[in-house]
Amino acid sequence: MNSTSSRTRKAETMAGNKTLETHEDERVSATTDSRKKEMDKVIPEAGELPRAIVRRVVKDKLSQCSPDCDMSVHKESLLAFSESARIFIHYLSATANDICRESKRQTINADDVLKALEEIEFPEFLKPLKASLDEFRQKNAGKKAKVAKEKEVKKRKMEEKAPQKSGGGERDEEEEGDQDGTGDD
Amino acid sequence: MHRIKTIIRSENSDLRVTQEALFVVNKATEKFLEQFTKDAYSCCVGDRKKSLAYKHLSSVICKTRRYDFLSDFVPEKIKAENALAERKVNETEVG
Repeated sequence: MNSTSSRTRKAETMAGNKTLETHEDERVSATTDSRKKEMDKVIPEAGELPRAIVRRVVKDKLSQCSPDCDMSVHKESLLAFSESARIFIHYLSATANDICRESKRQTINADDVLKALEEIEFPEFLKPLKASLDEFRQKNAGKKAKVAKEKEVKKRKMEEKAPQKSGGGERDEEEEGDQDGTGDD
Repeated sequence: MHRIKTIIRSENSDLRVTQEALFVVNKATEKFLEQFTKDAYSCCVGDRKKSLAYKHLSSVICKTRRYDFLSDFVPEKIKAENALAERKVNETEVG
């Protein structure tokens, strides 16, 4: 009896003194051990955002916010950032899916996502997103034009000569075609 | 981009998404991260700290309504002591 109470007191003091804080969710009544196991399981999961990219985005923004001093970002904050981004993706895609279902379509398109953004209270993203979407569309259009052009060129080649595959030469042509495509747009 | 597709698919495998939509989700996530960083940074400045700690993120999530959807995933830290006490209460309720 005595020993157990002293042990719990010891644990309490340890928790108080050291940073033995855990971010236990209120609803989670699992033991800390199983929680640790969960954390271990989460880390190697494939459905995670690439750390390096998350770090770069966060760091870039921070240096934008405070150009005079260097901010450091804790490891756990970075993990929280990437997890938040993951949840955000789920949240956004689920909302977009709902919107898509409402209009009785099968495939989620860009407008659904934009509407979803409005719905989940991030309307200030709309403008820059639309701009970059236009850019993306133009790029894609350029690519399509390029592919079409390549097909034509190939066809012509096939018609003119016997099929002769020259890897390097074609690649050069591709690059030229890309420049042409973007220039036309 | 591919990673995002996997993430979306992982939740609902029969979801169909166009390339454009994927792109928008990608960009939106980037914007979201930037906004979140900015908010956390201002919280950090208010705290006069030079490093971005977990508690800044969690307090931003608690304070801002539109981050509510994250509150279950980035909860405010509580001391292990309190968590254990709460667990005991829960256990007694169950038992």
